[in-house]
Amino acid sequence: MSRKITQQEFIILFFTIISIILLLVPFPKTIIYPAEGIHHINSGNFSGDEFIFPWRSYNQQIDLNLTLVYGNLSLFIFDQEEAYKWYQDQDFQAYYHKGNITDKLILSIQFNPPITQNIYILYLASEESNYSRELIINYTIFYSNYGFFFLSIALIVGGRYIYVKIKNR
Amino acid sequence: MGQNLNNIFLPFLPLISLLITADLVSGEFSNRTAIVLYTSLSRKTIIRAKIEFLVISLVIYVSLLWISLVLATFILFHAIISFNYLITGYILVFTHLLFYVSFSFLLSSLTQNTFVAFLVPFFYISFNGIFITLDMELLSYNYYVNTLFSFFTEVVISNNYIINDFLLMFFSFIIYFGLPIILFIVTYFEFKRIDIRV
Repeated sequence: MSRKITQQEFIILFFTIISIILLLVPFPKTIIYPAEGIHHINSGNFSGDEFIFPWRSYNQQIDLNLTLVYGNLSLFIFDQEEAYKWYQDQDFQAYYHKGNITDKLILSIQFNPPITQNIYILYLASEESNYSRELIINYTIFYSNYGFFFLSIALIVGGRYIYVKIKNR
Repeated sequence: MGQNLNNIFLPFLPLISLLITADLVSGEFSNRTAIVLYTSLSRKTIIRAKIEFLVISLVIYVSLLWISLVLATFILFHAIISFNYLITGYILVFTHLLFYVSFSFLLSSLTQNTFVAFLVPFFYISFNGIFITLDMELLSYNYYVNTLFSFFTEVVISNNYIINDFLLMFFSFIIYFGLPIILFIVTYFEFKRIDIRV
């Protein structure tokens, strides 16, 4: 015997399916930091880019295209903890470090195993420098955030549905 | 200075409004005035009146806060806050408080229990950080508060904001302004259905 799905059952099913998809299916994500003109750094100063590899993100990759107009730069890529150590003049370990950059640098780094951290890309000038950069960050991500959100809606509506069913029995 | 004031006072502001709201419906059931009230007037009328009362009292509460803020800024720093800062802050703080008020009101109406109506939102405010730690920040209302506060701070102060995640920003707007309204609507329609025999 067929039975029509009620509005409430439809809402519960809809949000449950959406949350399962978001929790279990990975989606590719690309963040582009476009080359916004030329940046200037004085000798001894630094500038940088900051981004985060979120929880449950995989196939993480950074593509950096750095062009120096003039000057001399050092490049560091490290996480928040190591960045703090670097700032405090302590021993640190960078994911990538290259000094004495005077021309152009095309870089592609993959993180394996994946990390869940704030990542800092630091450009340290050993002499007055002008540079431009284009940064592309790629990873696949499970949108657990949205998944949990929709799951909680499904649980609240489902809980109420079951409560009413039991009460009316 | 502004950031310090924000950090000190913002967690306490919802608690004051929670104290008023938690007892609003459940109080009548604990002191038995509900028997008289709900026999003489329809539930729809009562709940609508209470929602109107809450919104108006919140407007007065935030207005008083803002007047004292303007006066304090003038007395302490001999400065006048510009109107766009005031109005943006007013709307954001009002909506922030409206969420906690609507949440507490929902619990107060549906459970008729003052402790539940006060303690659940209280713990929700206090342990918001857990959601962020567990990467479930979209379940934390404070996350939307922080997202929109930083967005409007950047827009109002520097007229410049780069949206990295448009979907998240759009979602934050919808939840931040929509959730209090949804909670009031749910309360309005659910309160008609529940058993309120005392």
